[in-house]
Amino acid sequence: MKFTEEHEWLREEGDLIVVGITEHAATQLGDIVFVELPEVGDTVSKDDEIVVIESVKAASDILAPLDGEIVEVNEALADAPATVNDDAMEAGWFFKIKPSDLSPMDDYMDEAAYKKLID
Amino acid sequence: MKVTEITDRALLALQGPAAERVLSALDPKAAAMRFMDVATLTLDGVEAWVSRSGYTGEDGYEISVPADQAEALARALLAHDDVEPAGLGARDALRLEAGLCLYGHDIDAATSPVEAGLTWAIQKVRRPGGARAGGYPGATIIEQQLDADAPRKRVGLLPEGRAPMREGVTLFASETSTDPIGTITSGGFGPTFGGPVAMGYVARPHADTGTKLFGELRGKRLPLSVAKLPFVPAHFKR
Repeated sequence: MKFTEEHEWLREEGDLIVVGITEHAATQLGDIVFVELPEVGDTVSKDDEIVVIESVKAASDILAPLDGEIVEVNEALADAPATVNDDAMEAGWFFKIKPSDLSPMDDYMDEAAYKKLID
Repeated sequence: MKVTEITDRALLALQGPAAERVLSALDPKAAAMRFMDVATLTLDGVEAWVSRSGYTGEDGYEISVPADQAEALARALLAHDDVEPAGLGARDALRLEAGLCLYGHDIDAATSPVEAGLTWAIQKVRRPGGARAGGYPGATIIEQQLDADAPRKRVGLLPEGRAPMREGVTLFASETSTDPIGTITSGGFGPTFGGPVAMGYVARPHADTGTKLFGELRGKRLPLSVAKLPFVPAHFKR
């Protein structure tokens, strides 16, 4: 699993990458009340703002970590956005992307480096 | 008249249904106060100017104490099981649910009390026909608006979906109309209400409760409707 400085986690699943935000980020945001996801089939570029998360405190954007195509989104979050608070690393995933360029993965942090970032 | 600015005191607010029980344990006089009463109490040895008021829509007290004793009093209050610290985000959610204006957002130097729904703040004697009518800043336009209504009104707004609509969202009469008819001045998620809530200004023809409007959020027009304020009833100690 890899981590971005934007507090996203990226998990390889076959030739797809599953993306969510870390437990640390979810805790910092507070109670999440709304998540707006991209559309399946969207072609996205790295650093595009493709997810909007609204917590009781604030609205924040999540950036596409890679170039590619959105192949699946977590529809359950529409009715249960608090899943991101309850289970950020598993059930609270946002989208699956079919990457067209995997090279940025080398620049992302491993778990140890991310833990260091948030300590 | 001479006005002296007091600069050596700090203000704490103790708000919520347990406020009376907590404060009257420190000074029993707190329990006898009603909404907007002011009294000097002795709290944990500190002389405090206390009013039974606040900006949350809940019962509670605002407590003015010498600045150098504020932290000690805050810690004494927090030592009570029923007291938790709450920051500006919590206060903002509560005052929005209570339909209370935030200066610089819902009202500013360009807002009239008629537009803002704050005419209760104008004494009867200063209104048209009163013994001391007029003669205050803005009297001409305020008197005209009291008579013929204001061209825009502050209203409550309820987004239909789950997406909060925050300050700055532009409002339209339909999904396709090009001319804005208003704007959101405060908005967010109401934790007590259990959904997104907002307030803002709309042109008078669109200000009636129940009127359907659209707010433009990230390029999309999403439905909302004009709603009565407050979203959560006030619990003042009348």
